[in-house]
Amino acid sequence: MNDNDLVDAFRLDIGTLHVLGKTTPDKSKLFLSVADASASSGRAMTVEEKEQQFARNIKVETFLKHLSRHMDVERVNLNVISDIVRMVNSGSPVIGRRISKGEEPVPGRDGRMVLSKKVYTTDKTFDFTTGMSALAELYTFDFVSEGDILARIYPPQPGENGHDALGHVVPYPEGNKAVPEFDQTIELDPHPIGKSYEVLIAAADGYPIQEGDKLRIVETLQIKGDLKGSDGLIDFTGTVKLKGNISSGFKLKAKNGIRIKGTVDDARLESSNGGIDIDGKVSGGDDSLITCEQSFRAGIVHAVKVEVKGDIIVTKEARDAILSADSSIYMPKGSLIGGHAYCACGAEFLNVGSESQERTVVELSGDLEAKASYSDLKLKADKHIKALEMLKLHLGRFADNQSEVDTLQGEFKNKIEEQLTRFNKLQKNLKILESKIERAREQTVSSVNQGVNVIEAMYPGVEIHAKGMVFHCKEKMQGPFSIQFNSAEKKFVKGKYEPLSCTFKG
Amino acid sequence: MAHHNSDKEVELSMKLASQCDLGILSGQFLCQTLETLDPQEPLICKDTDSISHVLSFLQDNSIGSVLIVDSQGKLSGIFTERDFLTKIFNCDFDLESTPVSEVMTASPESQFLSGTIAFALNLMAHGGFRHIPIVDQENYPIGIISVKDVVNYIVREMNRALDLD
Repeated sequence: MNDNDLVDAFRLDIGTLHVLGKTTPDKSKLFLSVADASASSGRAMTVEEKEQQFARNIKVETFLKHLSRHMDVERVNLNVISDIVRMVNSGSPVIGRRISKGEEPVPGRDGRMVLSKKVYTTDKTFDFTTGMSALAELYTFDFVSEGDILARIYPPQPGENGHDALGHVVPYPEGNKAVPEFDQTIELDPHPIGKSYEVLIAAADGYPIQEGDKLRIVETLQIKGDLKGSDGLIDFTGTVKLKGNISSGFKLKAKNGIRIKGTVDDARLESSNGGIDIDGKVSGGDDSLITCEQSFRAGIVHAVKVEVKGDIIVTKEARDAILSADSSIYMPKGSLIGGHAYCACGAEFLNVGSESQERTVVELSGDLEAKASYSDLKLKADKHIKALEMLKLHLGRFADNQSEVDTLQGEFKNKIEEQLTRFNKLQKNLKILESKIERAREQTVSSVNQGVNVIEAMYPGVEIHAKGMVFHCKEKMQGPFSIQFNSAEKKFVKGKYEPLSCTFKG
Repeated sequence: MAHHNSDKEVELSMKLASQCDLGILSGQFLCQTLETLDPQEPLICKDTDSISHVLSFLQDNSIGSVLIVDSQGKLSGIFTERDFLTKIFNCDFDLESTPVSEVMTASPESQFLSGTIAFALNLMAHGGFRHIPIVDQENYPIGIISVKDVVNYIVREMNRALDLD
C-alpha cells in the first residue's frame, strides 16, 4: 500500500526512537514505522546517540507497553512486533510494517415473517375450473379458522460488533424490522406469552392469500365447474359458492354456508354454522345427505335426506324426500309428494300429497323439542355422553376396574386418579341432566299451536302425526285451511287458514 | 437442501382429505400445519464448537439433541444422543479439539412451519429419526419437533375435549 494512502493514527517516542502508526482510511489495517530521532530529523547522529543505538536492548513487553497507550495490543501480530523489536535493537529502520488488522462487524439480520400456513399466492381470488389438477391445487394452500396462527413475525437479530485495527469497537448495523401488511381479516398479537416473536392471527374463516406483500383472508371459496365423487372432497372453513353441478358421492363441507348455482345429485353437503342454498334440482342416492345449522333452500328436492336446525324452504316440489327441520317447513308455492317431513314448529304447503294418493307423512315433533331450554339440555347430555366415551377410551381398564389404580405409583397414579375423578363426576352430571330432561317431558304444556297449513289442496294418502296421534286425509281437501294439533286434548282440529306462528330463521 | 418435498406433501394431503375421519387421528388433525404443535425454540451450537462443548451444552440444558449452524447461522446439522452413542462412544476422538461438524448428522431433513403433521410423521417413521428441525425460507432454524411433541398434543386435545362447562 502506498504511504500516501495512509492516515496518521498516532506518534510515540521510546527514548530516541520515533514510532509512527498509520492506518488505512477505513482503519482496517495498522502499519508501524520506527526511526531514530536523528534519522527523522535528517541530521547526523551524535556520538552519544550512536552509543545509545549500539547499547539498545528494548524488550517486546516494553514496546507493547508503549503501544498500549494508543491501541489494544491484544490485537497485534506478536510475530511482527518481535521482528520489529529485533530490527530496532539491531539499528535497522522499520518502515510500514503491518502489525494489526481489524475485523468487519457482522450485520444484524433483518426481521422476517415466517408463514405458519400455506397461503395462496396470486393476484386474483382462487378460481377453480374443472379437472383433477385444478382440484389438486386446492390442497396446496391451507384453510384457516378464526384464531389460527398464520405467521410469526421475528424481530431483527443482533449481529456481532467488529473492531478496527486499533482495537476500537465498530458497531454492527442493525437489521430492519419486518413490517407485515394485512387487512381487517387478520390481527397482530404483539406479545404472545412466552414467545420471542409476534404472531398474525386469522380474524375470519377462509383461506389466506398473499398479494404482493399483503396478507388477507378470503372468506368465500368460489368454484366454477362440476364436482364428482372421484374428485375427492372439499372441507372449507368459510363459505363455498359453486357455479356448477355436484354428483356421484362428492362430499362438500363448508362451515359458514354453501351456495350452489347448479344441481346436486347423490352428494353429501354439510354446513356446521351456516345454511345451504341450491338453485337447481337436488336429488338423492344411497349416500346422499344434506345437513346444516341454519336453513336449507332449494327449488326441487327428490329422494334426498335433509336435516337442518333452521327452516326448510322448497319453492317447487319435494318428492319422496325425508325432510327434518328443527324449526319449520315452508313451501307456500311448493308441493310435498311422498316421503316424510318432520318439523317442530309447523309446516305450510301449496299442496300435500298427489292425485295418485301417494303416502305422504308430515310429523309434528312437538313443542317440547322446539323449546331452546330443552334443546340445551339434550345437547349437554350428548356432550357428556361423548366425553364419557372418550374418557373411557383414555382410561382403558382403569375405567372398568377403578381399584386397579392402587397398583400404580407416583405421578402416573396421580394423573390416572385425576382422570377417574373427572370420569365419575361426568357420570354423576349425566344422571342429573337425564332426570332434568325427563322432568321437562312430564311437565310439557302446549304453548305453541302446531299445525299444517295448506294453500291449495291436500290429497288422500296424506297423514299428519303428532304425539302418537294420526290424522288421515281420506278425501281431497280444498284449501286454504289449517290443521292444528291440540296437545292438551290430543286431537287435530281443522280450521281457517292461520299463518304459522313460528319465527323463521331462514 | 435435504428438505420438504412439496409434491409428496400434496399427494399425501389429498389422500388424507378424501378419507373419512380416522377417530382421534382424523384427516383434519394430520393435515394441520406444524405450527399447531407449537414447536419449541431450538437450542443451537456452532459447527466449529468442540464435541466436548456440545456435550456439556446437552447436559446443562437436559436435552437430547441440538441444532448445529454454520458461520451464517443457517442450519447445517443436528447432533443427538444417538450420534454420541454411534459415532463417539468407544472411538478415538479428541473431544476438546474435534469440531462437532465431524460427527453431527449433516443436512438433516427439515420442514417449514407450514408443513403438515402427516408429512412430518411420515418422515420420522420412514427416515428413522425422532427429531425434525423447523426452518424458515432462508434455512435459519426456528424450531424443532419430535414424536413426543405429537403425542403430547394428542393427549392435550383429548383432555381439552373433556373440559365441559
